[in-house]
Amino acid sequence: MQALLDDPMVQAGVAPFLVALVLGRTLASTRLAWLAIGAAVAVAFAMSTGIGFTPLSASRKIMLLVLLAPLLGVAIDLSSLTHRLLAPALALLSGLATLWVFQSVLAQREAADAWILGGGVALFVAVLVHLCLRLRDDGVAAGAATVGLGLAVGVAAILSASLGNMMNGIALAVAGAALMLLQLLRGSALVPGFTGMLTVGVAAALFAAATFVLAELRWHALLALLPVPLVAAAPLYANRSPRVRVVLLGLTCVLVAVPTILAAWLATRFPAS
Amino acid sequence: MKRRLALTLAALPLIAAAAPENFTLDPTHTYPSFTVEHWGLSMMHGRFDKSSGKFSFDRAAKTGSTELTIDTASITTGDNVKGNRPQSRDDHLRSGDFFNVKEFPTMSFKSTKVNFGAELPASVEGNLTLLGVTKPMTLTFERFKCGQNPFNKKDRCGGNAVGKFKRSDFGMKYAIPGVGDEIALNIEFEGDKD
Repeated sequence: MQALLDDPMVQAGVAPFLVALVLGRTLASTRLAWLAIGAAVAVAFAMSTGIGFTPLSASRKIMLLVLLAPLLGVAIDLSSLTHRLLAPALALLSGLATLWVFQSVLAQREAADAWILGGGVALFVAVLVHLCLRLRDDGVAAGAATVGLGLAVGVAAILSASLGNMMNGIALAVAGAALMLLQLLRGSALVPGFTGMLTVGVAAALFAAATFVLAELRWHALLALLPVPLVAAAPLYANRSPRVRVVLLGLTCVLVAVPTILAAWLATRFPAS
Repeated sequence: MKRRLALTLAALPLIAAAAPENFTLDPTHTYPSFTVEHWGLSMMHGRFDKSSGKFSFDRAAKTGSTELTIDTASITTGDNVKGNRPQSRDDHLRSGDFFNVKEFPTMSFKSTKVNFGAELPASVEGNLTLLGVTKPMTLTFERFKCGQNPFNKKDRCGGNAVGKFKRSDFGMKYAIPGVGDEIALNIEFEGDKD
């Protein structure tokens, strides 16, 4: 049994998928079904490295923010807070939080390098979070983007010397797949709200950013992630039934994830001098 | 007056012997290395190629100190060419999954107490700092000898110190138990007297 629990495929794949499926099904009739994403990623954290925050390294700060995102999302959804600047503000906050996450790494660099690296990564996180938040009212598009982002982040991470972020990315992808499966079986969408898409955006962006800053992912692989939520938001297959849309949009977002994976793979073939 | 002078002169050798001897570690002859169990099948060996530090001891007072700083990015386990794989083992060890060298470029050991044998240090108690976490650790000298550097004729001491720690105590939990939790440290060292 212990050998099974120590298996990375169980830690990053099977367990998060089952948790997301069960929790999503349990909360399907509420506005909080997408808490399943946060729960699935939390399970992956707990089973692989354990959940802990001392010392507060960059990776643990990311863990903290990813676990806080669904709580903030729930608070916003339950308060029914609406303002056209809410999503941009959350995106900006995510970007600023990125500087806090990588503060110890930035502090070791020359000032100009630190500003470029920190500013670039913060901008990337803010943009990706904002693009994800745009999907908060469309469960199918959100699920497809979650699968695509998780897959891209996970596979790119393993190509970039970060098995930890590979597991995090795969956990995100399978959680998205679980919610897509639920929507397919139900024949109707599960609206993610801020609960779901703040979690997805923060998780995908920070896992990718960590692989870039702390491992070997290249900057162009980060940029290649941005089309995933953009394509998910496009009015593709709008006239199709929800079930057909789940399948087609899911496959489309997986295809859109390929450039990120390709960029990471090419970096292993043509390393920087 | 004469008696005072005589006593002072008699005490001079003792004062000289009580003086601490300070050494700077020779980075080209100091090798912090480690072994860790892999999948319960074999022991994997690794080494840090860059380190620096100093040590001192006072034979008469039986006190001493040591500081060692290790460049974590200099880790090598003999697998640094990725070939057709996505990454080499050494690249992975430098990543956030293990030594996280971009965030924590050094690990260090700083002594708090040196325990002596008959004449020379036998063990040193201190604190190991790894990934921002500091924990107590004791290093035992399997060998501690002193002689003379044949090239510059300076007094030179060297030997090796061993100790063990659990990497999970420092937050390095990735791949436990497949890659062992217990790390056996062996530090071969030499240093010339300052």
